[in-house]
Amino acid sequence: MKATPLHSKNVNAEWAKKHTKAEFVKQHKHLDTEENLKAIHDELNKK
Amino acid sequence: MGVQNSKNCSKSFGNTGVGDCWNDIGIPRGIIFVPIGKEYTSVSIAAFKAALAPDLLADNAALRAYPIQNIVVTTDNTADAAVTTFAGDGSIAIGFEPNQDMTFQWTQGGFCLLHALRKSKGQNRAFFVIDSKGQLIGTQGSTADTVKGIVGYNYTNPAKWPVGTDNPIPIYNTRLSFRPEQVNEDIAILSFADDGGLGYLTGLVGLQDVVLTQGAARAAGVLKVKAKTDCGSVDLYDVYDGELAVVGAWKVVNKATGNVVTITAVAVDTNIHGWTITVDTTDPDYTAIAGGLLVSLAGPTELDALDVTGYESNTLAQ
Repeated sequence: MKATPLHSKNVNAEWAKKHTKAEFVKQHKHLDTEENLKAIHDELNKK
Repeated sequence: MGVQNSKNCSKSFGNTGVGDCWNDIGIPRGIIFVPIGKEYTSVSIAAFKAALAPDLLADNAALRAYPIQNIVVTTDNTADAAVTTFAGDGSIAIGFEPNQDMTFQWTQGGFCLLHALRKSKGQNRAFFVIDSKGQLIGTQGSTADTVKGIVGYNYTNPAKWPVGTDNPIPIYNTRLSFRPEQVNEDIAILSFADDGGLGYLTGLVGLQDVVLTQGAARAAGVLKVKAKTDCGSVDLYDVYDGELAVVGAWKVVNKATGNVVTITAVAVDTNIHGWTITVDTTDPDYTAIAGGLLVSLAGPTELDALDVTGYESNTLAQ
């Protein structure tokens, strides 16, 4: 069971920007759905 | 001749006229332990406040200020000066002034505060005294615009248990003994009367210890932790669940090397009433060894920046 939906503020943005979307999803798949993780990665990388 | 064997006796006098308003000391209401030798600016109260505030949250315990508030009784144990009476004519000379020796009793904080203060019992420490007039009493620094803590021996006595009607509450106290020159010839009194007064001074509080516990077994780079205050067992999850769900609120280090391990995410975990901390298992400082990672909250200064003010945690091996 996922604890709570992840939010971009919960994430190490610097780390996320240095890693691919696939790596980001793999690293955090225990925290949220793949769809939401991809959206977070997109959000952090468009800034 | 220079200054050898010389004494300027003209400095042995001080003018005794006083105006309508003079410095006086009120009843002690609090103590703030500060680093020995640390000098604080007294160029203005605002500048002093700005200098002291970071010390209350200092990440380094040796450089931190530790307030004790709500002193309810102060007892002066100071012995009389040693007097020599000459047999020939009965005249006297005072050759030695003993230390000023005072006992400060508190009730709020109880055993938690006692436990913390007894860690330094028997050590010399520096301290300011907060008095009932809204003043901070210390001693002169190395320049006219600096003050520092009074240095003395400190000893927090064992608690006296409540035993009946004559002693219905536990008694906690700390004894301080210090050379009198520091608060007589060299006293430094800072009045906060126009800068918040006693209300400001008694609002200065020390850090609370936080105890981290494991919320669930570690699985590779996924750590689950819970946090409660050591005294009172307030669950920080109930107060700061969102504030602490950020990477900057936590620190994970390799136990063997002390090197920081990268945290990639921190999420609120409603299942454990705590937080899930995810670290980068490809970080060269990561270790899969059980107990090889040490988790803690970030330092008090970093937590303060997240509006989580006044806490310092232990480290939890994971």
